Amino acid sequence: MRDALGQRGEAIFTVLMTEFHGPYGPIFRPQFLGDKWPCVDFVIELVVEAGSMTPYFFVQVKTTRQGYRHKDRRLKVQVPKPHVCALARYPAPTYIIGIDEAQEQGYVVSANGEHLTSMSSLATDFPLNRPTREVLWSEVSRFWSAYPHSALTSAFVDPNWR
Amino acid sequence: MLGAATKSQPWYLRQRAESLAIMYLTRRQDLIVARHESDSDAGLDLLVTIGRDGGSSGRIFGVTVKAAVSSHNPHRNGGHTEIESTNGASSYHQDIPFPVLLFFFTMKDDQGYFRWIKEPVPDRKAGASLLMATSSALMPLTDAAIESIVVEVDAWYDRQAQSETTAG
Repeated sequence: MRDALGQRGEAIFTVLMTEFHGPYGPIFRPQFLGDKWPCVDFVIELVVEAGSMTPYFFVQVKTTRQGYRHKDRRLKVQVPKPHVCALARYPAPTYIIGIDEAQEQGYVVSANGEHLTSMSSLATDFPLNRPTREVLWSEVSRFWSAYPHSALTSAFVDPNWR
Repeated sequence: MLGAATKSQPWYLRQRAESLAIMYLTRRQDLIVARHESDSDAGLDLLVTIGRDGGSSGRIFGVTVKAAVSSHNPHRNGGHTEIESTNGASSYHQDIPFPVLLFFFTMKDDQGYFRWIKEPVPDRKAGASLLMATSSALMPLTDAAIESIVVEVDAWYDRQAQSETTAG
């Protein structure tokens, strides 16, 4: 059973990511993957028009009660090097989310291989507010738009699909 | 009539409302919150344990979580907001032997409200008892309100313990 701080951070993250963008509701659909998944905490789908390809990305959520470093206001969360590297190996977009549990605020940074060392603190340049969420949505959408939807030729085709 | 979230409503209503409820409750480090899977829309969504001495205790209360996109017709009545709910207390709640609350959230402004479904009522003569709530009035869900809820539930369990000691 995940610890209370982690549970709180996941709840805060879900609230932040499902804030409404206009009258149609949230633009992200997060799904918690459970404690057993080694490095990824959530898979998040982009909310798109029905019938469109559904882009998605992964995040690891790190929650802290320790607040920020005084000198540069970086959030005091840590991610060990093996986890950073594991996140970067996913072919889908991956991000690390830092949650300040006291302020109920979150921050996003890319984990797509730009850095492959451990993380001892997290930049607060990209708070999980509306403008950041819109940039994130566009970034993930652009990534998947480069993938041809029918790239896979599967060996497991049902010839008598009903 | 403003509807409350059911399993057939937009996916984000239930998920977001439960996350909001957990976020509100876990502002207190003495509350341990567990999701409760229920087949019924009128069932419990969360089981909350009041911590004691840094650990768990047997003192629990239940929360049923409902939500709507917005509250179109709140009736303000002396500071209370009356929002009709399609699912009030049910026979399911009648069988529950501990206090139960309804948390209601409006998604467009993330406002939270609450009311008792099964309210602890200390009865000096007959021992602690629980009453099924008859009023649909909702009150703002604030940190102070959650403090009051915890105090009420704790006091009810104290009376339960006293009653058992007296009877024994």
